[in-house]
Amino acid sequence: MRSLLRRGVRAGVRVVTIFRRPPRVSVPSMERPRWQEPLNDAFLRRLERLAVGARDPARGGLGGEHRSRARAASPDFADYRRYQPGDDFRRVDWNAYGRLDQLYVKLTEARERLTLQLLIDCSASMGAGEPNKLDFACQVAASLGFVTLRRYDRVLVRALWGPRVASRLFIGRTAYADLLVFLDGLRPSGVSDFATGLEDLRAERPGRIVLISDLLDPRGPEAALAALTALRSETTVVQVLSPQESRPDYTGDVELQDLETEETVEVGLTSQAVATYRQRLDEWCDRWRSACLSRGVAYARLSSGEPLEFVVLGRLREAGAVR
Amino acid sequence: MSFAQPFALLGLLAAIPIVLLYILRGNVRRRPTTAAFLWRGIATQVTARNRLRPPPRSLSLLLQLLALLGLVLALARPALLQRTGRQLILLLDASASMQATDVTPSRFAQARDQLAEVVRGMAATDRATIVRVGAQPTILAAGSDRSELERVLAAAQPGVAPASLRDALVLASRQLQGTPSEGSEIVVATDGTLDDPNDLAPLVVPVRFISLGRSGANRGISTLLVARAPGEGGQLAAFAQVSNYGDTSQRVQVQLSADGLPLDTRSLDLPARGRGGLWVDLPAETRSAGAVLLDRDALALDDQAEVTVGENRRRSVLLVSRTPDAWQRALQAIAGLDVAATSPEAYRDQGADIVVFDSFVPSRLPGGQLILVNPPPGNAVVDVAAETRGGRIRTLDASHPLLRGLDLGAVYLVKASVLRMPRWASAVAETRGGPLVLQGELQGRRVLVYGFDPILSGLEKLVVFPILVANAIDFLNVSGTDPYVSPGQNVALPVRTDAREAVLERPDGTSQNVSTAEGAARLDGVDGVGRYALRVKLATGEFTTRTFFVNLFGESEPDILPRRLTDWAARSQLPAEQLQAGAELWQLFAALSLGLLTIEWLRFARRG
Repeated sequence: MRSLLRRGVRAGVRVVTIFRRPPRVSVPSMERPRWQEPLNDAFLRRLERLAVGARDPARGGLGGEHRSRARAASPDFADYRRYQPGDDFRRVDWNAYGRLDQLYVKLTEARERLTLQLLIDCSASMGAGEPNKLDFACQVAASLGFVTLRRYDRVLVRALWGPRVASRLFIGRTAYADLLVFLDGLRPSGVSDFATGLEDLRAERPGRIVLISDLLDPRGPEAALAALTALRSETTVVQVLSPQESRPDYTGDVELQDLETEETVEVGLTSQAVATYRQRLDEWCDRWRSACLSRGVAYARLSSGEPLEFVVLGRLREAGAVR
Repeated sequence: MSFAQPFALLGLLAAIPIVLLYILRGNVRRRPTTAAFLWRGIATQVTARNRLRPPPRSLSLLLQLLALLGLVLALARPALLQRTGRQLILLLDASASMQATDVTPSRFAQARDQLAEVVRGMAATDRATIVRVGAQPTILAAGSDRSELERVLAAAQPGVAPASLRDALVLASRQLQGTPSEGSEIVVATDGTLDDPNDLAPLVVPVRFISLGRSGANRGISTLLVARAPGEGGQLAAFAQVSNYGDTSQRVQVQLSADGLPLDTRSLDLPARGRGGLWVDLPAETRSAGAVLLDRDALALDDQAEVTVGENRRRSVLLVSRTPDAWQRALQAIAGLDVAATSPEAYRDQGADIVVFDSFVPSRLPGGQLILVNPPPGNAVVDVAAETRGGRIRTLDASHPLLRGLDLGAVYLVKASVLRMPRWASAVAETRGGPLVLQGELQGRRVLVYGFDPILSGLEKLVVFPILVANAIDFLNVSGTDPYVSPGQNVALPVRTDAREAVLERPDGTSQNVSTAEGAARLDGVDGVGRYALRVKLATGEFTTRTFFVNLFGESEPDILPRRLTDWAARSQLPAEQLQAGAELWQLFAALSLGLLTIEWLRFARRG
């Protein structure tokens, strides 16, 4: 068809385009899953102004927008250095030579890509809650991924099903659609086990890490945070709890069965029992927060019932995950 | 509704612990939680409610109770009692002994009267089936019309063939429709001289026997045979054996006859339940010999007998072969044979008594007995599966008349055909590859098949060859019928292929047309004693007549001593609780229970 059109144009024939290829869009719009509804165009436009918060220089490879410790050809001046044999003559600052009668070479700062590692807890407990905690975690991950990919950085998503890990690397702005597809395929199952699941991450170059989980692992934060800090990356722990977890809406005699361990506890849910539970939950969250802060890990506690825009633009910005 | 296992209903008591479990456990709902470890110990801080409360309104409890009910009902084996009328199966013994006149007027007549009484006692909703118990049980009538049933009973006639009570009971069981209602039964009017159906499965309705007959006093001719002294024109002699089935010794007058003309009358003393015999010389040209007991007794059927005398004529043999010499020599060495030889190309049906086809089988078989030697592949009689070279013959039945005086195991076969066993034949000898020598009856004629060429294997030089041929000729019964035909026996009389029609004349003077398809006139179950004549009209307009006699020989039927079968009836019935059980419903309740348990399990699995 194309060759036919070209021939027609060459022959002076006026070609009327009947079929036009639809414009390329970055977000698949047809039959969008329900959890992606908050990720609308207006919200994404607001995210375009954000960047992933990173204190340390990036080490994700050349080509990004982040400062680097490496020196490489770029327009960003960094320093002077005395000329040494073998240096490129084109980098000699001849003005300085005229003033100082010394040969100096201009050093420029390289720009590197940032690698954002999104660790998403996909254990069975993440499937609970209304709104669903895993859906909410995916919304947060998609938002952070969008912000990262817009800056030509890399997003490495790791879904953690206990010791099982599924990873996928996303590079480039157009990879956002693939990121959504990947996130849409995550299903909750298994038992939380961060310490084991994070073992494989040590092979990665340091970058920026955001762990999104309900942190309801009876083994506590110590082992998991030790595994995280061993990665030598700037880390943010985002704890996601559902409104029902914070305020149980059951009454009467119930037999509670743990979604992961299948442990059952028979409880008469009185207001006193609920208050005791909430107190324990708060203590549990504080224990995580204290453990994170003591290791230099940023911590944010979110509710899956909170609006996504408020979470990303407000809570995560406060936690330093985005700026 | 009735229950076959009412004690199983005690299983309903299992509902008590189920309900108690629910009461004590309360209506605890199962909820998922993400942090059971945060809830641990909290239960001890809340006050448990009063555990004793009414059973909760739980669908699970309802399903479990219904499943239990279904299971218990299935185990109790409920059945719906039918409100329809009784089903009566009336078996009328029509064996020869039922013609005994030790009761007036005869056992069979009494049986008809007794069954007619049963018919008259039927209610309007009752249904009766009348089965005549002969060699093959036949249904004479079925329905609720009493007058019609009585009419059929009155018209029923006895036979002479041995009757099978087992077959009749099987047929009767099949006649029972649905689940028989109370009062249904099988009524057997018999003198008990029937086979004992011990291996029959228990019946679902009671069997009631109407016992007939009073005495076993009977005398009968149990054997009559004619023998000829060896050699051409040998003296004919008849031997008659008379049996006394009574408990007292008897003297009987026996009249012997030839071709219907009395020859001699002799007295014979018979011990109690014993037998005696006598010989009498017959004229040389006698065609039939007969014997009659002049004293009357309870059963007249066995008081006279008649047999045909084996034809003392020469038999014609047609040999169809390209190398007829060896066969012709062997056949001509047998006395009484007129042997003619022809080639396959010149062959035509000449009406020979025996036809030998050597390495050739015509598309249309002649009417005589056949010997097929080395039949070629693709012939119309026997399928030749393969051909083998070399090998030995293995005899399957060394006592078979065809192998009398022969040891074929020493014969080395140069070439042999592996025959595929046809349905009409059986194997007499075989090779490693399969059947080699077959014998059977095809279209009313005896057929022998030799799957090898004796000449090619050098057999004609050995002494076994003339013996093989003589055995084959002896084995083929040229007369076409056995000299003794028993009542109820199926008879196949060979007829010429150009036969147009055949008429069978019965001893009672009646006649019937008989089909002559496939070279044989088939008579199914000759059910009467006496002389039968088959008149065959040929295409040329000629008539041929073949005569045979049916006699009540043997010891079983003439032994008319009545026997009681009530003991067997008691053994053969289902247990009383299983009788009249009506339509069983346990499968329905078992399926219902299983379905409810499945639903409950699915609910449990989904709820977690």
